[in-house]
Amino acid sequence: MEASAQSVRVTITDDDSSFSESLALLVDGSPGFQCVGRFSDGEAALAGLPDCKPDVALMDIQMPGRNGIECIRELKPKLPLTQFVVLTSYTDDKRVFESLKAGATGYLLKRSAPVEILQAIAEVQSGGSPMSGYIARRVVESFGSASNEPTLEKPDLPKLSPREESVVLLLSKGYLYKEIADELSIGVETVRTHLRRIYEKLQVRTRTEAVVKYLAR
Amino acid sequence: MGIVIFSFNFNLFRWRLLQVLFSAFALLGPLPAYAEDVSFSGLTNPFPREGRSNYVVRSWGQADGLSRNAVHSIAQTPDGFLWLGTSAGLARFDGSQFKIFSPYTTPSVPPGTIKGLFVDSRGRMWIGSLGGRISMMEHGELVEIDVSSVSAYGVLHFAEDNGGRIWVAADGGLFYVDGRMLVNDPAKAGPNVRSATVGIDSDSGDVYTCYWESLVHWAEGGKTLVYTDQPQRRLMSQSIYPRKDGGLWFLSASLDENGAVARLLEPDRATTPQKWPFQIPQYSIGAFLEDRRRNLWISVYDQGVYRVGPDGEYEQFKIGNGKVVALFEDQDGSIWAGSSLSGLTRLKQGLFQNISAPGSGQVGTVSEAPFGGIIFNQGSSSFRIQDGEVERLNMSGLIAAYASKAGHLWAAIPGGLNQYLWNGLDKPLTLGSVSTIQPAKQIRCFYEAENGQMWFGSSYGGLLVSDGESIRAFPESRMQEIHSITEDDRGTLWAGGHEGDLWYIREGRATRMDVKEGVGGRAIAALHFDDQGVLWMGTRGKGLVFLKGDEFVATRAVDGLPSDEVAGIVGVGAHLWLATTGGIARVNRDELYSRTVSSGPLSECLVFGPDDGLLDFSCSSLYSPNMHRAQDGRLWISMVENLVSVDPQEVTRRTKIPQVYIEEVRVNDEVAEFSEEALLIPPGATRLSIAYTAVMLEAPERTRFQYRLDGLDTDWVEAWGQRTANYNSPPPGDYLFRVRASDSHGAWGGEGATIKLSIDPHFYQTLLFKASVGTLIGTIFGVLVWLAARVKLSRKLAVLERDNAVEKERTRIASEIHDKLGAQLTQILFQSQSLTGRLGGEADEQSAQQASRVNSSAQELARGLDEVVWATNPAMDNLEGLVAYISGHAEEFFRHTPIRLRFDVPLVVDTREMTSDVRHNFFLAASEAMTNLLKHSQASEASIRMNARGNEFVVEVSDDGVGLISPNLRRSGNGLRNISERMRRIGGVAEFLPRQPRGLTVRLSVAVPASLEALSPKKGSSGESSVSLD
Repeated sequence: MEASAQSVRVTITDDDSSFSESLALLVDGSPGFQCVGRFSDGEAALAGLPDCKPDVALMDIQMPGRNGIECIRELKPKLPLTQFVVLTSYTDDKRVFESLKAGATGYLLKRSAPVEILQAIAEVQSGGSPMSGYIARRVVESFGSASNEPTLEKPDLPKLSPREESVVLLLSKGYLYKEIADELSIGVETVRTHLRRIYEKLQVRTRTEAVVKYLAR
Repeated sequence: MGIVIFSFNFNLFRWRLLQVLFSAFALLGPLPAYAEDVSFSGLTNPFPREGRSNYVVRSWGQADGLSRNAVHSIAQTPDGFLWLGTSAGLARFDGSQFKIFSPYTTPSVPPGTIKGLFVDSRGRMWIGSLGGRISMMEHGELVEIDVSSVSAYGVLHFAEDNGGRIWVAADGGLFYVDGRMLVNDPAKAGPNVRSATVGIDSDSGDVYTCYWESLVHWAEGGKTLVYTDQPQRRLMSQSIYPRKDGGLWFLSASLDENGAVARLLEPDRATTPQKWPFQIPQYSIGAFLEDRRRNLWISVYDQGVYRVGPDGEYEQFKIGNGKVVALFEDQDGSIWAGSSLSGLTRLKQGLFQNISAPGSGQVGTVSEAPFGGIIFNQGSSSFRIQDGEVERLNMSGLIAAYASKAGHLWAAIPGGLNQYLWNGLDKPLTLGSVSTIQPAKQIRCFYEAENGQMWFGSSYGGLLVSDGESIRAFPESRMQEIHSITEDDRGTLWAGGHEGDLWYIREGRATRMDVKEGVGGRAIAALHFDDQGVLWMGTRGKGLVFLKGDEFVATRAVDGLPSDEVAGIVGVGAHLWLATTGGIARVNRDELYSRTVSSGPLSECLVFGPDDGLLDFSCSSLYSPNMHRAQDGRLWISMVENLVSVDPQEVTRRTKIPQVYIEEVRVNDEVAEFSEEALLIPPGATRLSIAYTAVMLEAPERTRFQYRLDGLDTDWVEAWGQRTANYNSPPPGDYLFRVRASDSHGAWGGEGATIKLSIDPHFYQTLLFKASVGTLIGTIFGVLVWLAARVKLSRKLAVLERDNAVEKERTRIASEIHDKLGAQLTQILFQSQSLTGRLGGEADEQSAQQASRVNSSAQELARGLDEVVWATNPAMDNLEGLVAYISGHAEEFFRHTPIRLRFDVPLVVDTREMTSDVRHNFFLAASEAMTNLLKHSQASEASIRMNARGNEFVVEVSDDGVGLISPNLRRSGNGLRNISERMRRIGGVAEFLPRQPRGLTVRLSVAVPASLEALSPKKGSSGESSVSLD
């Protein structure tokens, strides 16, 4: 498979073969995108995905065997440059949040229009990340609660910068990206960059917290 | 609109006096809002009376179903229908719908513009067209009049003389109707003269006609010219009108040397000019009318219609474009205007008088001075209104004012209270200011007890009492903010507080009653004891509440009240008048008595709106009393914008039960002819629809219908405003269809209308056929019963396994839908989308559109499926799931709308359990509230607030839109009922609370036990918590 330098390399992991086929067709058929691998379950993805070195890995959450969240948790450290995007069939913010903590930087509803799917892939690739009000609240909660938590030692947990905190607080109050940009006098692109940073911090924090908890036992 | 008050009798007025007044008026320039420099009899700041008349203008046109926007003539038949002559035939109006009778569909309708429309004393309607054709309608039948023997082109006008003869004025001359023929009067031989109008002097019985320059008197022995105008001037084309005092008016189109256009025709046939207190340009009069109240109505081109009252006061009503060419007074006394371009307009006397004072700000309290007049405040100024005159009192800087029977005026000022003595004639005399209350405290309500004591409720200071000499705080520290005070028939004082606390005071001690639950912890803004000793509580948020037995019954916005915030209650006979933040309502006390917690909407609840003359729908709710029943029986109510008054008896006087008519029966969409109120329907009727109507010209929106098909329906079917009843495949048999209408208060009565219907059976619908089939069915039924018994038994056996099984099953269904259906749908989504993309070019455009429709339906379906999966999945059976889902839905819902969305949701939502049913219904209620908001509120911002506190989970969907205003009330009312019904189903509550300054909050709450595990036997732990499920 020849990859043009500009194409976004995409892998698809989904146990629903017809869906992943349609999606692959869509991705391959759209200029600027290229499907470099398809996996039908978690195990296959764990084995084959690292070799594909995708820019964006689309990953179904609910799969028999190893689910998407576990896969991302395992794969993300091996593929730090790959952006993981989880696919869900229906609204399940709780699980989406879990996958974000595990290393995903985006999420997509499978029922989204193909145009939206491509937009989302492109957006994640260019450094942006989507965030709903619910996720934003969970993010605020995750970053806020640990400081009150009496831990044995104070590990160096990443914290949100004041600007990042403002962005995520406004999101949790229902503001649109555009409205946040206006409110904080920054560009919409900057809002997206902040969100990406927030996700990264969230992941580091999640890992660190796990270690702290392990040590404290 | 300018109104000038003339203190002389119009009929007696003299030209010079008018001149003087006119020049005085001209000096004043445009009507000032109030004129400080004019002083009457020692009053301060008087200003010209405004808003004295309360006519409400409402128009109907082509958009409402009128065939043309030109209405040339108006008449009313004894059955109440209003008939309109248009250029495209005849239109019948029942207050709600126009029924068009055009010459094409109804051949007996004269073709051409119908100029002449007249109902005679026998109830026959005469219809004349410009084309010279005449028809007469009697008992619903149209008969053509033979006009062949005369040349009666241009029929313009009809009149009936004292002997019942019908006279016809036409361009061709004056004629009368003999049998069914139009004839010349042989006794009045001689050359006929062109006639535009015919009028009968009811005193003498003589006939007069008018045509341009001349008024002609017809009598035995010939015609006499009574009046000829100057050659350069002309009479109006239609210019003779009956006078209420007998005799005739006649009008000229141009002004005479005195500027007069109307003349009274004296018995000696002399004429007296009549002048108008406003400018009428030459040749500009369209129509004229003297109504039963002795108002003169005159239409002037481009200026609309003027009313000149019997006291000489006048006002102008702008009526669309074009000229008003017909004016008519109907049976109820409403004035109807037909315009050449703007259709039909009704001028109805509103129930409410609006009193506007020159103050700014909200109207506060209203009370009655013992020396006469009503005292109220608007903003920081206080006023007295007496005999329609508003005067400003020299008390200002106040927030509320109250006149006691002892002749004192009390003024609440920020942080204090001032007392004035006033004899009603001179300026109020300051008696003293009361400084006993702290600056933070604020008087909120006044009450004068039967024993003469003055009581005051305050913010943060409880009750204050004055016995004439001094004012002291009532010694009860638990009382915080008192919003309302009343007294029962034993002289016990009652006070309602901010936190839903109710107090009574006996022997100098206050006792607190536990009503918090009944009023939902909401402030008690109004208290009222009715003559049966029942205590009514108006609450801020829980509607109208009373104690029935040992349970509180609340009547709410969903039951028909205009708002859940009731700030004033006054009893008038068997009715309660309510001042709410959503408007004024009148409810039937007996109906409320009979209500229980679960009763449905009120059947009798009158909510007043613009059609009743109200300019503002929001009652003022800050201070009490905001309502007052005056000595003369009138009711005075503080609105946010102005003070209004209404005579409660007038509401009853105007009530009548409309006559109902069956208009049309359709069988399988074909119109069926019926006579004698009976109809035989051949076999095979699958669709039966019966159209009916009722005449309700005054308040068409308040007419409700109920119908029943005796033999099929067991009870009346509520049709609300709908005017058709539909039945699908009614079985053969004899039926009686009955339909009845309510009066404007929701009371049913009258005969209604009936029609007998006989539906013939097919052979297989006959008894014999049925008997044999019946045997077969009986056998099958027996087998089924036996089977069912077995199934029941096995179900019983499985009952223990069920709990687990249900959960497993739900998981299975959820994943099944998710995996199988979801995947397939995604496929469809993809394929339809790529199809849309591939189908280019013009030829494929249609297919591309179809593909795109398939795509959007698939997306809709996917969203619906998502909801089902979410509702079914047991993994989501907790509060957190609900909060996440509502918030996700709201984001998606409002994303592409112009409405800004804001959340107020706690970061951490606990994971207490919530059953699928509760979750789903709650979600649907919230979702419906959002849909309502988007559709009806015209808001720019929506805010969603979710909170779990104690055992209650609350979602508030608020907007900054128009709130529950009347025009949309019915439409959004259904949505509101759905929301309430959903919440009721899960044991929750929906409340509709107006927001200040504008907007609405829909508050949904349901009890969610803090720890369901403790109660759930399935989980095995025993009840350590005493939390109950409801």
